[in-house]
Amino acid sequence: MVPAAGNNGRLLEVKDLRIHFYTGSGIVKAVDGISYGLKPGQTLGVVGESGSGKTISSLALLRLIPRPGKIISGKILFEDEDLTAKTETEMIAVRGKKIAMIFQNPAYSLNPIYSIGAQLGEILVWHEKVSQKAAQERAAELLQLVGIADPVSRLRQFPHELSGGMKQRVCIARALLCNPALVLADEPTTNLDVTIQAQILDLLMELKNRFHMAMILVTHDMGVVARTADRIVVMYAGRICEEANTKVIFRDPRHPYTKALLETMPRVDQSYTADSRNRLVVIPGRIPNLVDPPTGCRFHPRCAVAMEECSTILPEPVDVAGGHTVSCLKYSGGGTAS
Amino acid sequence: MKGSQPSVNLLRIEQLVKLYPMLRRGIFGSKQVGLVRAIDNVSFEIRKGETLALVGESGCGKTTTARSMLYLTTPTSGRAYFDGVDILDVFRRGNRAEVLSIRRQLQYVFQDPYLSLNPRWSIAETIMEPLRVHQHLPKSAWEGRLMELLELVGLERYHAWRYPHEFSGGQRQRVGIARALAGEPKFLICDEPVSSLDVSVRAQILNLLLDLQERLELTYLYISHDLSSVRFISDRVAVMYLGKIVEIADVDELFTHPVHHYSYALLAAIPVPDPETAVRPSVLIGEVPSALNPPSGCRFHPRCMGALPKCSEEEPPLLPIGGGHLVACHNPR
Repeated sequence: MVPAAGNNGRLLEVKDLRIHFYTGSGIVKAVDGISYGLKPGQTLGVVGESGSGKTISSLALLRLIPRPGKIISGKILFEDEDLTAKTETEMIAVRGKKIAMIFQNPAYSLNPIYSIGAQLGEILVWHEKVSQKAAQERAAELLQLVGIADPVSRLRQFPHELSGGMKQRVCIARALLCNPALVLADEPTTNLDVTIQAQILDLLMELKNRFHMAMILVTHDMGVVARTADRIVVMYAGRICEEANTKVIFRDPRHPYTKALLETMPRVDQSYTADSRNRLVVIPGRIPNLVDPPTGCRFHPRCAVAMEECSTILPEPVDVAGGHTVSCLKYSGGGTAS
Repeated sequence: MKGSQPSVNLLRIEQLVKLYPMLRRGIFGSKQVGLVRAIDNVSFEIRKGETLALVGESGCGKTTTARSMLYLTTPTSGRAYFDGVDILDVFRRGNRAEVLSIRRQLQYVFQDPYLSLNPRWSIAETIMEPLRVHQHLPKSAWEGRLMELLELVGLERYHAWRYPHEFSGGQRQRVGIARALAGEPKFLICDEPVSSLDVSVRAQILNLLLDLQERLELTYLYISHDLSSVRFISDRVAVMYLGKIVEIADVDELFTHPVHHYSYALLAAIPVPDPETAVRPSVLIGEVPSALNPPSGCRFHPRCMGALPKCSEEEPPLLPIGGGHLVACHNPR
C-alpha cells in the first residue's frame, strides 16, 4: 500500500528547520536552517559527524527533541500536515503509527523489565485498538519476518536474554508493527559487528521494499549509505552541505567537505603498501563548537579551497545539476551575509 | 615500515591461553560452572618495525590477547618473548625493577580517550607520570621531555597545563599517545585507537601513528574491528574468531585473497563507500556462538560455507601455505 503523498509527490518536506538548545553556556544552534524532501518509498541517507545535527533533525520529525532544545522556526510537512503545528496529543497518534524510529543502541531502547511480547503488544493495542491476543499474534508474525526463529517463545523473553543483533531485529519489528509510511533509523548498526551489520542492513532494505516504506537512515558511515540509500544529504555543523542521488555523491561530489570526507577515510578496497610515505588526506582542525559557530560558511576554517568571502557569506543551496544541490560559494557566488 | 621486509622478530607469542572461570553465585558462596576460553593457544610473531593488526568481531579475544601478553590480566599459560626475553616469566617472578624495565618498552594506547585520562590531572601530570614511575631521566630533564612529547604528537606547549575536559577526542588521543611514548618504548599496543573518534579526525591520528613509527622505529600491535583502518596502517593481519587465530597473512594478500572462510565473510561484510560495488549479499548467517561452550572441531564450522564432516571433529592447526600466509582450515577456499 503506497501511502498518500503530499505536495509534488513528496511524503515529507522539511523547510528551513532551526533547532536551538538553550544551555547555560549559550545557545547551541544544533540545526540551523535545513530543508530537504523525501518521496514515498525512498531511502534518504543523512551523513554527518557527531554534532552535525543529523540525529536532532531526525528526532525533530517525531517532535522528540530533548530539553532544553526547541524548534525555533521551520516547517515539517508530512503527508501535507505540518508536524510542528500539531499538539502533543496529535503527535502521539503519529509516533510509532505513521513515523517509527529505530534507535542506535538496541540495549537502551528496549525496556529491560517488560517482555518482548508486552513491549510490542502495547503499541498495537494503543494504535490499532486490537485485543491483546491479536496483538501478540501480529507481533509474532513480525518477529518471524525479521528473521527471529521460534517467535512465540521469544515473545515471553526479556531483552537481556537476547544478543545485540537479536535486540536490533526486535527493534526493527517494533518499528514495523503499524505499517508506518516512514521509518527513521538512527545509526541502526553502529553498535553491531560488521557481519551482523551486513545482515541487519540487508534485512532493513528487504522489508522497506516489501512494505513500500520511506526511510531516513542517519549515519556517519559512507559505506552504509552507499549500500542502502537512494539519496544522500551531507550535514556539517547544523547545515546541509550537499544533497544528491547516491551515485552522484560518490562519483561527482562538489562540496569541499563531501570531497574531503570521502578522501579522508581509508578504504578496504585500496592497497597502501606500495609507498611507505603514503598518508591519508587530512581535514585539518576540529568540529566547531555550535554555541559560537564560524561565521559565513560553517566549514570555511577547515576548507582547503576557502575564499575570502567564505568567512562572511553564508552560502545558500544551489542546484548545480538536476536535483544535485550544493551550499558552497564556489558554485553560487551568492548567499546571505551573516 | 610499509613496503620493506624487516625480518628480526621483536615479539613472539607462543600458545597463549586465558581461561576465565564462569561462576554461579549462591547464598553459600560461588561455584564454578564452566570455563570461558577467551583465548586458546594463540601464537604469532611481530617483526621489528612492522605493524601487525589483530582483527575480529567483539568477544573474539583481541583485547584479551593484548592484555595477557602485558600481564595486565594474568594469562593461564603460554609464553611471550620480547627481544629474546620471556616477559611473562619476568612478570610472574615480579621483581619490580625487572618488571618496570619491560613495561617501559611495551606500552599501551587505549581505545577510549575519554576514559583513559584522569580528569583531575593536568595533561602535564598525565604525560609525566611514566617519567616519575620509571625514573629513567633526571628530574631536571622532565619538563624538556614533556615539551618534546607534546611537539611529537602535534600538541602545543600551552596544552600542558590544561585538563582533559578542555580537549576534543582527537586531542585526547594525542595525549594518550604522548603518555605511552614517555618511557621511550620500542613497542606499542594500539587498542582501537581511532574507533571512538569522528571520521574527520581519524585520518589525523592514523597518520600520526605512521609518522611516529617511522621517526621512532616503533613496532605496533594494532587491534581493531575497523578493517579499512587496518588496510591502511598494517603490514600483516591476524584474523581471530572465538579466541583462536584462523588466518595470518600480509595485508594485501589477506584483503585480496582471504583463504579462511571466516576471513572471506568478514571482508565481504564491510560496506564499501562505492555504490557500484557496495551491494553484496551478506554471506555469513547466524551469530558468533558462546565462548563458554564453543563448537567442537573447527569453531567456525556451524556457520562455514565449506564445512566438511571432518571439521566438526578435528580442530584444524594453523599451518603455512606459502608466502608467510598461515591458515587454520581443513578445506581452504
